[in-house]
Amino acid sequence: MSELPDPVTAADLPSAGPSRRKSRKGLLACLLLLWIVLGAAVITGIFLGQTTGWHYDPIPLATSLQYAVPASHPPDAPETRKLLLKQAKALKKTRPRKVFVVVDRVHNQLDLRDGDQVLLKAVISCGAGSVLEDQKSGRKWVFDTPMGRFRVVNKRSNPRWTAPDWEYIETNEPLPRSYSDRVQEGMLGEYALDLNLRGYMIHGTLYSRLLGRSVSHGCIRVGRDDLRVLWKRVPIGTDVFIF
Amino acid sequence: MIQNRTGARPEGARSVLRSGAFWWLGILLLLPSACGRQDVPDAAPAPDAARQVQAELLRGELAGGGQYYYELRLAEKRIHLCHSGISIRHYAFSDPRLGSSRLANLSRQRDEPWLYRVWRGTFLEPANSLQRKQIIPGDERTRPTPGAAGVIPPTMEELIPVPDDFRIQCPEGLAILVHLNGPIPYTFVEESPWAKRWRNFQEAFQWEGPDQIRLRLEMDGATGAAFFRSYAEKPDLLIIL
Repeated sequence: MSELPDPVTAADLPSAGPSRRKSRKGLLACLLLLWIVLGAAVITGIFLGQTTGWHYDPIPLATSLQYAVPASHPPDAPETRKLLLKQAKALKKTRPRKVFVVVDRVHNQLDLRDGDQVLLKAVISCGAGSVLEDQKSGRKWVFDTPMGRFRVVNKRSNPRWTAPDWEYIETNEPLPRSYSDRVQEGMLGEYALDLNLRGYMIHGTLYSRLLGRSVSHGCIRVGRDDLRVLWKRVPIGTDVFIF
Repeated sequence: MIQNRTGARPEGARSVLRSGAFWWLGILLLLPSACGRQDVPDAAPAPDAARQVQAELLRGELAGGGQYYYELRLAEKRIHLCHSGISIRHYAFSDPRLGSSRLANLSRQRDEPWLYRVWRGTFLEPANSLQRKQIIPGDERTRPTPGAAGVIPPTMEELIPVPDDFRIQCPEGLAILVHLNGPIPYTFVEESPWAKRWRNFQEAFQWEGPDQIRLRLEMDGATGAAFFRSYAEKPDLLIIL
């Protein structure tokens, strides 16, 4: 009869306690380290977030000349006087002499000014800023009122309008064969003031209910009464500032 | 030698004490006035002849350029849109401030003069781009007629959205931040405060120091929107007192 082996007791097993404890300790140490790293990162982030960035202090006007470029021209020097005189002469030529027109394209407003004095304020219609493309020819038009300084070069009463190609393309109509077919009466109102930019003018409108909105093809449309004032007070050669 | 430390004080010590008392009295008298100091209005100094000449020369140079330009007048607190030496429009602002970049609380500023100087070719960021409409040939809706009401066409105010914070940038190293207060008429774009903070943080996080001079202005919504929408193409900017 064979003998049965002795039952295995816990004491006979290889001792697992200390190594398990060690690995648990290692894990805890890792977790702690992770927490420390994370905490440090968060604290650094908060610190940098609070202490890094652009900040703005009031400009002390009384001492603001410290930020100025050093004056290069001594005020009493003869060369400076000469330079100023030369500049004043040049400015006299470039400045508008009498009345001038200011056109605000964004707010559809026109001011007739004499220096700082406003003689007339009118609600107008400027360029719609829309785009038209002719699929057949590939031509493209952008209906903006141009920005800059212009001049009234011609004044016309009961003006006729020679419709350009875009007028027919926009309405999907065939282009007229003869020039006379393009001429339309009454479209520009009672008067037209031509600018020194081909095709652009200040004129009246049939669409008076749309004054104040950007609907034109680049011209400046004015209501009937305001146009009458402009006709009277704006001579040829008047400067027109469009912005 | 042993000095007598008792009895009446010598004359020298008395005078020292007296003068000390006077000092204390003086300090006590000055203290309330120092603590309760009234804010002296921050008035701009009257520009001297040299500055006036400098401003005139710069203005003259810009006026002869035949282009739109802006004049930022700090003391007047207005930005003028000018052409040929005349002011076409002006826009009021408030609270002009000078920026400095901070990195971990270390304040850094670009040390370069920015006043009485022309800053060339400025532009807006974000740009005042127009949301253009495409005309469909033959479509009456995109083309109003005198008789029919049609669709009311949009205005430029509706076509150009305005952000509540924008900047005038200059490639030469200047940025003017414009913050709009109050309602902005018609279309506008609003950036989240967190996005603004993050951008502010990112822009300051440069080891080599700030690459630009920064100013900050505030405008009311309507004025700022008008300024933004009408901003000229690459205008020069003159900053004067």
